[in-house]
Amino acid sequence: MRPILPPLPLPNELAMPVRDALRGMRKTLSGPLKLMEPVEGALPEPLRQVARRVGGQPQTPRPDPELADVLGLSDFANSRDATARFARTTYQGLKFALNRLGRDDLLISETVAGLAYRTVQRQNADGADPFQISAQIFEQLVGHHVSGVAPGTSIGLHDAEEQINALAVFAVLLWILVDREIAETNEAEVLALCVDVTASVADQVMEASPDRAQLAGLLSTYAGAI
Amino acid sequence: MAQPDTLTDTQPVRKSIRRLRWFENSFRQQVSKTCDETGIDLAIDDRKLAATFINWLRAFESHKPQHETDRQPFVGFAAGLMLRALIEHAPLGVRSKPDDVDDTNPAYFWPEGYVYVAYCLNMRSAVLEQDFHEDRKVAPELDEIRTWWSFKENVANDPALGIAFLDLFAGEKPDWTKPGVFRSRDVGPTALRFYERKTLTD
Repeated sequence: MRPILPPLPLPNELAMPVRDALRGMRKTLSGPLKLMEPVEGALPEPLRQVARRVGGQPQTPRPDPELADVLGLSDFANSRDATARFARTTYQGLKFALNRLGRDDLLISETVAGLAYRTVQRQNADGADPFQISAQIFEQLVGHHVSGVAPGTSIGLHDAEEQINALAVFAVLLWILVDREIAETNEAEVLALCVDVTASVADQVMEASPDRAQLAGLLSTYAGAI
Repeated sequence: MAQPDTLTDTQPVRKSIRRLRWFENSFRQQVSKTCDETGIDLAIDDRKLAATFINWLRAFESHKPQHETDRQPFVGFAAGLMLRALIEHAPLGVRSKPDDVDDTNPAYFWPEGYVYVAYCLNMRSAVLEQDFHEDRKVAPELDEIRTWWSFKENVANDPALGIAFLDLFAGEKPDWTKPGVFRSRDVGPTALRFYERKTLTD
């Protein structure tokens, strides 16, 4: 059974929840523009444009998530906008990982990712073991349902989604922990390897997931092997 | 037999091979070069390749010997463990083969197995050359189709026999009875001392 997690603090940055809301709308209202027609005429022009953008306009295919600026955990901690950067990277990583695990239908919350990171950073002193910190972040991200039907809640989540969520989070944390100094690194390729390794040790990850120490050990072992 | 370019890297192969990024890259090169040489089109299953590596790394760590005298013989055994993992997880599949190929050539008889053996022999030779200045060698059995018939049939029943077959292909003496057990060189002298110890009646 997962430990009861403390409530997350409210974020200072409004950009993350706004982006989450827009992504949610896009996903939910990705049908035809007709869905917006009944209200479109009543909206002032600026809002009409927003509604068209998020609701009904055919989506231009997007390039793969930008993965090039990933930082190691210690680099996140040292960067000025650490929370926002971690949240953005985690969002991009999770999108990629969920897609590779065959679940690109699930939503991801950048806000939950940012809040999880901030909560853990506040609980740990500078120089704490990165694998222990990562295990705590894992607990926060999974416990607060960073991805799902309605991220931040357990609504609509079955065991299969809970497991995919946990594996995707594990893979993204591995990716962040991988040593980038030993070889020239293509981030998408490394993340793909992290997802594939996670899938091949899925039983171990699920068995270890309620236990921070075990989880930190697994993260250390497999980050070192990648 | 084609050889991956990564074997010319400056980092010792014995260390590099324990990183998935290097393993994946060098294995892809092996596949690509073999495809170029033979005209066979092979597909790699990424998920199975990652599982192969993890399985091998676990086996490697659990068998890793403590004694300095075992370092050299363990190189061959570790390469055999890699072959066993490749056979078990089967990350390669044949998309197509050229028409009218000579199936008595091992590369066409069993293309996936041929790549697995080539890769493991290359890794083995690279480490032995780098760390122990041992010349690259292969046995005539590597080209004998009868040995490959036996190899394919036997490892289908017991992938651990791949360890013994790799020894055979490398010109070493295979252990057919317990191929999955690493025999420490240190055991011999220790056992000898035990049996030679004088007793009170001497």
